[in-house]
Amino acid sequence: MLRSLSLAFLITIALPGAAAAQTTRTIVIDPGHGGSDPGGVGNGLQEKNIVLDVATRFKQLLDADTADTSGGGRWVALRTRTNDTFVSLSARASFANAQGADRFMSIHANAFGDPAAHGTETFSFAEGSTGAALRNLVQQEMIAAWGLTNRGNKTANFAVLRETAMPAVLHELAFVTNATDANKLRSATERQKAAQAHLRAIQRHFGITPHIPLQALGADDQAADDVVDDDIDGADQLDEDGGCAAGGSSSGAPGGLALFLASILIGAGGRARRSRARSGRSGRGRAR
Amino acid sequence: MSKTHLLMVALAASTGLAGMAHAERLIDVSQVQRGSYYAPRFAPDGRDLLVTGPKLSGLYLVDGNGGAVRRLADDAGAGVAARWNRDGTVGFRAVRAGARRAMIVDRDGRVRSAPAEAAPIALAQNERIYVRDRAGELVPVGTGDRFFSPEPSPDGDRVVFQGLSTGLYIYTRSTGDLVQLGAGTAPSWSPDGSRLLFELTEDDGHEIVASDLYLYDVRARRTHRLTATSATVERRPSFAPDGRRIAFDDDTGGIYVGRLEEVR
Repeated sequence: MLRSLSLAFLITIALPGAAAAQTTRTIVIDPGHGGSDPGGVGNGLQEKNIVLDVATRFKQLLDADTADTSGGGRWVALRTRTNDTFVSLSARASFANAQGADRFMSIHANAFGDPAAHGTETFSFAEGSTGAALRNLVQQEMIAAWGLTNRGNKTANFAVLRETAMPAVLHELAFVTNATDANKLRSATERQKAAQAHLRAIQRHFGITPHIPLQALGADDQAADDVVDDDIDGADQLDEDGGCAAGGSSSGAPGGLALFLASILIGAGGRARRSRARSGRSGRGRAR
Repeated sequence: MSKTHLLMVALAASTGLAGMAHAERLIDVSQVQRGSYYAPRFAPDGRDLLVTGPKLSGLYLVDGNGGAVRRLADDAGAGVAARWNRDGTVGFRAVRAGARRAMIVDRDGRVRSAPAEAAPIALAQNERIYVRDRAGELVPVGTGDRFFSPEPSPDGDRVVFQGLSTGLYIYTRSTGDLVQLGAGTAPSWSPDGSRLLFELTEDDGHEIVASDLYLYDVRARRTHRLTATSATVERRPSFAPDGRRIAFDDDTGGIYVGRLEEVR
């Protein structure tokens, strides 16, 4: 008996978060817009393609986290859309409710007529809720990952926040209409960092020690890159971190383990070196 | 605010299949409750309405004649699959001891565990729909989308379900026919299973900017538009037990009741 207890204690020490990881949580990831609805458009980018790519990377990370037994959590990761298709807001919420999802995480990119509007913001339905707690973590992790202007933790009566039965957040990565923000959105490496930020946020939300799974990205990672890079003229020049240097593909994005490990290294250094050049400038409000 | 001034017409749906012989129009629409209530469902007595709150939280009983609202349950997500039982109690799902369980609440708010459910006629698994055939075997139905929320008709012969991007479908167990209705959500069967109400929303990616109600005649395979309003966002309709009245919400917390009248 004593031996068993000691073993359990050692396992707990060695694998932080392992106890919490025993529960499988269903996360519905919601890439905004799609199909006939491009969402925000600017700087050669379409919101629908950017957010589908980040959502796909986030799902791959959750799947990899589940497969990685050295830490992290166990997840069932579902997406409201997996390709460039229009899905109504009503169907998105109904789908999440039908799955009995534990959390709903919508990913968007902002747009505004004034190209000076910039930064990152995250919404929940109400303050003081479990959704607001997750919202705060997503925003915090994204500010740490990208270092863009913090537009704050906000509430909104958005349909997917109101009509989902589970705690829900809607994150606006950055503005496609702002040149500086667009450079983040355009970069495959930055999109990977955004997906990792979402993973860290959901892990922390459930009391799991943040853990990036040591598993190569899935086979459809390259396809996800193509979806975004089809929109971009001169992407190779602008994708300074992860673009044409690795692999030299026309998509300008490395795949697999090389990208994954590189993005971890870059992410660690990037947080320290990135300045908040526009931190004193207020945003101009939502585009929609 | 009364909605009787709103123009309610029976129009041919975008499918172009509608004929006026079986068309119905919505008349005598009135608001029976305002506040933060959604997804009304008539009680078996045809008078009271079961509703839920924002984020489908809680269950409430609304007097169909405009009386007070009583809270039945306050569980998060209780409104997702809430439905009336024939004995006047309400079945719903709630988390108990860390697991989602079937519960029953009576009109006095007394909650208890539901008895074991019979084998379902249809179920969703891994984003596919499985329907039990006459031999009792579950067979997959529908291809080309990711499907969810199967709902058998009251007589059990048909099952309506949703595809994420392709809308509503009806599968008939006795014939094996599968009909795609097209875009729509929140389907609700008439008591005799001959008609199906649903909503068709428009959105801008963040907000629902418009929604109207539609009625599908199963035998005629025709869809009729019941509302054509720009000022009101009609959503989440359902039939009364008499099959002639319907209830719906306006997406801002108001509950409405109206009457269907056949157009000759």
